[in-house]
Amino acid sequence: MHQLFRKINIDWSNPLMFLLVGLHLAGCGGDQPAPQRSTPPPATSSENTIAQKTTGTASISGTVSFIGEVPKLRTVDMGSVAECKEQHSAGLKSEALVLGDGNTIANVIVKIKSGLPSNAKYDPPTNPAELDQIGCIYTPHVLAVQVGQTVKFKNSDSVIHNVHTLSEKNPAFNKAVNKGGEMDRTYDQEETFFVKCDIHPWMKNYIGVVSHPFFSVTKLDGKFEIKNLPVGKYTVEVWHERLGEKTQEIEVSHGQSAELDFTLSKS
Amino acid sequence: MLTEKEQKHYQPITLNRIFAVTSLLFLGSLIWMFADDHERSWKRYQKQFRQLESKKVEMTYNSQNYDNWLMWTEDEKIRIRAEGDRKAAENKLKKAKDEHYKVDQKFKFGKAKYDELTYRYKEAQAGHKGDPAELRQELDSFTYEGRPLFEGGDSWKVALGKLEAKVKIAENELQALKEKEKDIDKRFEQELGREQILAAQQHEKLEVARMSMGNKIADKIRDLPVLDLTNPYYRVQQVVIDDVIEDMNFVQVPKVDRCMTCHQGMAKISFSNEPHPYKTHPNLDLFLTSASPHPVEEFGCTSCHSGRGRGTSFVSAVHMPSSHQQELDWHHGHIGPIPEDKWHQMHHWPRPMFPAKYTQAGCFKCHAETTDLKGAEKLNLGLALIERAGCYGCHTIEQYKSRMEKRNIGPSLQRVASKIKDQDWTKKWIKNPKDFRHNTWMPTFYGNGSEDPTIGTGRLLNHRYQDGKRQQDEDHRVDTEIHAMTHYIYSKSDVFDVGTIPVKGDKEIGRNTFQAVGCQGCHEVAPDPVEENLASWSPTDIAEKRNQLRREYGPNLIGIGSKTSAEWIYSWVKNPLEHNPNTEMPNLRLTDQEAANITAYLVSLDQKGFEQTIVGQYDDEMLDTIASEFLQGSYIKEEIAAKLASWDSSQTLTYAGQKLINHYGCYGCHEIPGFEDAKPVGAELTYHGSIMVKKFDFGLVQSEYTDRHGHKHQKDHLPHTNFDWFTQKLKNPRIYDTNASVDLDTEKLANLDEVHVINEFKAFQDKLRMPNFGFTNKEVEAIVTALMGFVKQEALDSKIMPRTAKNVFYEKGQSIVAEKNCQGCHLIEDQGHAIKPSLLDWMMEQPEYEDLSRMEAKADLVSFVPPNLVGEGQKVKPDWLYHFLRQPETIRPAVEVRMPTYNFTEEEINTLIKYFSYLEPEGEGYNWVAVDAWQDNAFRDPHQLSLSTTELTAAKRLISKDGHHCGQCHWIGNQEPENKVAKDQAPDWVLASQRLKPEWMARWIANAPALMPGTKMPAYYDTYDPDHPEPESYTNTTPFATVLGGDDREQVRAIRDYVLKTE
Repeated sequence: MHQLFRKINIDWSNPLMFLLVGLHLAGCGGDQPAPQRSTPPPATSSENTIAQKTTGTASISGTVSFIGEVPKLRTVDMGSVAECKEQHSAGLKSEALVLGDGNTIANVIVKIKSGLPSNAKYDPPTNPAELDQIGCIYTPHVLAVQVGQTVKFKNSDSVIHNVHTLSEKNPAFNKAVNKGGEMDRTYDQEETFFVKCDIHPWMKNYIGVVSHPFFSVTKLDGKFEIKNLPVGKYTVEVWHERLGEKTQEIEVSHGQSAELDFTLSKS
Repeated sequence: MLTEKEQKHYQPITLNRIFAVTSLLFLGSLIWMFADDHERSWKRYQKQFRQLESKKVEMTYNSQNYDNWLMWTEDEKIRIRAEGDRKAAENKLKKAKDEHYKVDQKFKFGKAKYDELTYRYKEAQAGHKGDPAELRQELDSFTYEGRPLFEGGDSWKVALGKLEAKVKIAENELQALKEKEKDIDKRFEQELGREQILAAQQHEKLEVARMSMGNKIADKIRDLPVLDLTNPYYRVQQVVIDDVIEDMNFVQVPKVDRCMTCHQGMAKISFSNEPHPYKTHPNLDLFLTSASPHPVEEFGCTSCHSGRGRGTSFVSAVHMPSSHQQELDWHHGHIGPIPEDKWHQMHHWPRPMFPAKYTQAGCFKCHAETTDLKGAEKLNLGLALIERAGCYGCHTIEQYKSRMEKRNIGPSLQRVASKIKDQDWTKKWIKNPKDFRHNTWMPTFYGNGSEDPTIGTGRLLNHRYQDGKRQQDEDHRVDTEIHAMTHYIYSKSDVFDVGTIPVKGDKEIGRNTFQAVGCQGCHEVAPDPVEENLASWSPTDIAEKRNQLRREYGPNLIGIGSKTSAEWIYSWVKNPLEHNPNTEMPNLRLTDQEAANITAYLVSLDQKGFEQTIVGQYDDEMLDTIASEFLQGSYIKEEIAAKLASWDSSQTLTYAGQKLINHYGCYGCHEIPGFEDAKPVGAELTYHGSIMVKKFDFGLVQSEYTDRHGHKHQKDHLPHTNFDWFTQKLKNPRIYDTNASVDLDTEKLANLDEVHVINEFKAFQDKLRMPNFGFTNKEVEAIVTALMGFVKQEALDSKIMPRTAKNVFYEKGQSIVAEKNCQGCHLIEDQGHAIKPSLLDWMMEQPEYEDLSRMEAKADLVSFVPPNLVGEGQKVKPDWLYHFLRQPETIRPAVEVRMPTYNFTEEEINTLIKYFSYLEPEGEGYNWVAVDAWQDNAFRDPHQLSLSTTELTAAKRLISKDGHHCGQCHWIGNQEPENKVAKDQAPDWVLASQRLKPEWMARWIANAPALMPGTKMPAYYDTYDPDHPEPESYTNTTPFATVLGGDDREQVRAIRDYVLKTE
């Protein structure tokens, strides 16, 4: 017993401790904190699980549309690459600005820029996001993924392509993808960056990496919807490769479906 | 009684009292001494550090968990011992061993006796001493338990064996018990992990509460007064640097640094967020640790930081504040842990510590040959500014000697009359160059060069009151001086026939060419001043600032059209060296048309003129005054009068001009006829940081500051430190001729209205003459950092960068790179590409880029920017590089920026080649290219290669459309790539065999981005590793499994050799 006390290093100067030890010695403490004898103590974990609400039932939806004079866009020049050309017999229009009926804008990344609980962590979806090189263009032209989510780069063409990402916060790479080939990458940092094929210089793509699941990319109808938001006040950002960024603030309450429209114009 | 009293001339009682009192006093002072020593400030720092460390260690492990497990271990051991009695097992083993020993001994003694008898019997038999029969009898009758062993039986052995087995069993039983205990310890270690246990053990040493009773007592006793001389916990810690000797006036002693006595956490990474003095050193990769290049055991602290290493208090270590505010804080005891440690400067220590903001000054004494020292960015910036401002034109600085001799900091004035026909322009320029070009590096000699009130150049005349008459005199004097100097340089100027422009130039095309061919690597066309462009001292911001300096390498060309003629510009851009063999402006090999276009563009830049500057007519009377001031040195009054009377005004102007140029030292930066061998006018700066503060003339400059309560205070002097002197000198070079008042909080002149020359007695020639460069506060700070580093090497020879070939060529190469401004266009050692922003602007203006977003344009910029020279030493053949540096040729089709033709000396070229090679890992060194043996094209033989038919077929398959499709971008001999736009094209393979090293090519083909991040060439074989040590485990994942056995090394080699054979 003497040895035991030496090892647990009781602070004798602390009267409370003294009392506790007294109880232990007497062996009559019903709920004393000292561990059970001869059974391994549970390993205590210092990590506290965050018990804050990080998802909810609110949602924000709306439309992004273009105002102003619609600029004339060039047709993509595919040079003398027959394999590419023959897949676009009608010619391919530049994807720099794709507008739907009523000048709704496609390829706009809409995301919550700020307002989420600061310590919230969101597991990335397990299904990979696909970025295909088909018909010598990237499909989709703008891709948004969550931090940690796998991006699968595919090449469904019959020619070689290279994927050259120009990310700055995430490690950039430039790798050839042979026909039928594919490769996976994941991203750790929130960032929107440009992806190109150096072999076929007209091939362009943008990847937006977002640190949470509250984002959306508009289709031709310019519509977006961000679901499962917790109650809160948010800054919503829209981003377009040519028209830049714009933000609006909105407050959503439990179960509410808020409407938020954006307009972008050429600056 | 009386006699007794008389006999003794003293009274014992009084004496005893005196003795008692003095011994009490003595005892008191002794106790006081011990107490004082016991309470020295460093001990208190150490105590605080111990608490801090204890808390930190406690946080690294879970003490509750540790204690629980420790208790569990104890309990388990007790339980095991109770279960299987270890004591009993030990006894059992002892018993078995004893038994075995007893029997064994018995046998051994018996055998010895038997052997003896046998021997004696044999001896007797042989006729020696003794009776054989008797002995036989004795032998036969000898019995002992082991006897059957010799007579064929083995029962003894069996018996012994049984006993041995018993021992073994007992041993095993004990072992099993021990193992069980060991298992418990193992479990303990496993559950907690090594780090937790180590932390717990460390914590037990630090934290009294966790010590055993005995240790607790020992911990108290070891630091008691007097007893603490044996082995105290709190003690002075020091390093002795044997090979660095300090001169303590007549005694040479090794350097001793005791800084770590208080700075206890400096090498501990976990203290990075703690306050001083416990804070971790900010750069452990470079300093302190044994893995770093500057381990504390070899360099100490004061070798770099300066200060008094032996000091063990805040004051005696001669810490120096970084700002006046900090000085006040320190002085009033707001310095953190121990407010009692109030600061004052120990004035008699000649090498006070560098204030934190000038710390990098300490690097220079050992790295004196450096132009670009990694990790000392502020120092680098200071050196770059010294170089850009051309301080060495007037101040001899040993490191810049070769450059000083070139006299090309400013343009040559040998032929100024042909360049600037308008003398009025020249006069205005001399008077106020910043009025014409806001960011010119030509400093201001007269008047105020800026709206910044701290910037002024002082006055030429002595006057206490700014009345109208004095002002008028001052203006006359200035204008007359300018007339005289202008007269001199124009009268001595050669004439240079600039000829005519053979073709008509187009301004718009010229503008495009100007932007595209690379002029903006060294020249700006920046009409408007920008705000302070150094946002912070972060390495990125400093790098950007240095790029700005690179873009200002040549003059800002704004307004050039109103300065000189089109013909002159044309002839200059066509061949600068013909104008001036010393110019750093290289030849861009412009065609006549290109040069004419650029000329047309530059001439159009005439919108900017002088806005405020007016130079009046000179005043004959004033001219005579000026001339006579100079004549006074050699002649008496009457002779002067006679001389002046005999000269016409032109002669007087020439005389005064020459003397004034000599006075101001214009020839330090400009080549001026008649001053070819003149000595620089300024003080030598080579060791300026070592000059004793008392040798600086602080003049009558006052200072004022605001205390914590907002009250203004006036001091009748500036703080007497070398850095305060440097700072004010750089901000206002003539301040020490005035009684200006400097606001120490903002470091600006406090009340400008009162600034006037008060020294009525200084003659014109004795006045300060340094012009004003208009440095910003941050620039001044960087320059002061460098200046403070210009110190005599204080017996630090053993610490200087070793003079190996590698270091020498590295430094020389860096110096050439800086001198030629290579980083204006190239990226070298991760620095440079200064031209990038202007090229991006140019790109965005091109019609084909209309459709691009800035992100996309930036991505394409790599096609237009001059190459990143990372890995150049591994990449290109030295012979080729030699040739290229002499006669550049086009390599990248899209890069319109031209590698200019420099007139490098052969030594410079070879130094550059060596420099690039030494930038690479060890073993990549080139041999000096044998210049004598070098002949044009000698290296241009096609590579001697033999490709087998299989390999050739394989190579063709690999480069084809079905393979890597190389022909999409690369020129292959005459075969044009499928990408028709130049920016999407890649270098011609024909160039490869002359230019590239085959080993490098293989790596490039396999994984180019790994060699040069950002390149357009993709990675084709990103797992390729020719140096992989184990062929069996080498994974070669190539998509072309059928080609050359699917071996990527074979495939890469085949492609490489095919490229090399391209013709």
